[in-house]
Amino acid sequence: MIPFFLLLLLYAPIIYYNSSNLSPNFFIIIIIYCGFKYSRITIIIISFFLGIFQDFLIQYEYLGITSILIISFGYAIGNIKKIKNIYMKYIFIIISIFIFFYSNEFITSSENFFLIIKNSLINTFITVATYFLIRFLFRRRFFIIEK
Amino acid sequence: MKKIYNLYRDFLIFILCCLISILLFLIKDTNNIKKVRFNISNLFSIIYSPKDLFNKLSSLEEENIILMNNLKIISENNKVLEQRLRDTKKYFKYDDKLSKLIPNYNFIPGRIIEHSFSGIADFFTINIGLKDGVPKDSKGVINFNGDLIGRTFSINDYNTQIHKITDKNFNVFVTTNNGIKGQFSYINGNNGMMASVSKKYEKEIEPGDTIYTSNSSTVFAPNIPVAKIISIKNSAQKHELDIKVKILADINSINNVFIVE
Repeated sequence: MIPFFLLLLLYAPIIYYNSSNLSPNFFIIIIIYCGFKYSRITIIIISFFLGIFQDFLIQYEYLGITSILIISFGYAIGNIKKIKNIYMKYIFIIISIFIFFYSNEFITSSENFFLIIKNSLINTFITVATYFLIRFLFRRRFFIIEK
Repeated sequence: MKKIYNLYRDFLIFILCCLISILLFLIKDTNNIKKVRFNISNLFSIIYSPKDLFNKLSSLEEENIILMNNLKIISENNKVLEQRLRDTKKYFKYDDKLSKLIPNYNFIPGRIIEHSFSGIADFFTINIGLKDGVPKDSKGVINFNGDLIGRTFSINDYNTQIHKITDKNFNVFVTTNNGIKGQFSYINGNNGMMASVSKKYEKEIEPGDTIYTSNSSTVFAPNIPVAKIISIKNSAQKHELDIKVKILADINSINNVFIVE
């Protein structure tokens, strides 16, 4: 599943909006997927490697910084197994995704506050929508891991 | 200790990963890290190559369209330049040719930039004016074959209006080869008439004779060909000969003119 997400990461379309690149973050989707499947320590380690990989490839100027954000996100997602209600799990995931995007935009972008909020919301929406699309396509697999 | 480790294991791993990330941030400008980044980029570019190829193909199509448009523009420019070259070849040494046709006069070349077809008068504008040496006084204007096409009318520093021979208000004193004098007036199309010719000259004029500007004008230089006689009628109701003429110059197809100074 993870190599499939990585392929999607390469070939996913990018929307150019207000001089920003808006696209679903497949690293986040991978971490959410792992959040349901693996233990917290595994998620942290996967997040660490994904973060380093992303930093080396995309955000070399912020090498290490973005990976800290992804590790933090992974650490937060590692707690979803403690939440019993599936809806509450997804509310927690969406809030975590928004916080991740906001922090990422805040560090890497020089735009004003409202634009950062707007871009974070759009990115959150795109990522969540993509996650649910994948979840719908592989519903059997997700149904098993979400239990 | 082991109990504490088990209790905070996840958190300790998290802190360790964060510390490694911070360490990477601090040493990101070292050569080893740059080398690692270079290798990862190379690996990534291999995986990315199909998409890169697709992007290149789509940009190739766009580039092709841009090049086609550029080619169109260049072709149009080429046509304009070819026309200019033809004009240059045609009008090269115009002075020699016109001096042979109308000796002892200077010729100022000009290019028609605008035709005006007002109801009152028929003019066109040329691209030379007082600053180019066009005289203030009205002067005759000819085409490259030396045929009369009008006279200068309104002159400013940069442009000159030419009163066309095909205007109904245009009149010029003319003479035949035999020295028979009359007045040219425009009728319609390419046709005009030679008025004020006495009936006693009926046998001295023949259809096909060319009429020229006479030497009794300060505007027109003498002997500029104006028109060709096409018919002569001796009507009993008129006191003069009814002479129809055809204008020699093709007014509609000229681009360059010469003011006879």
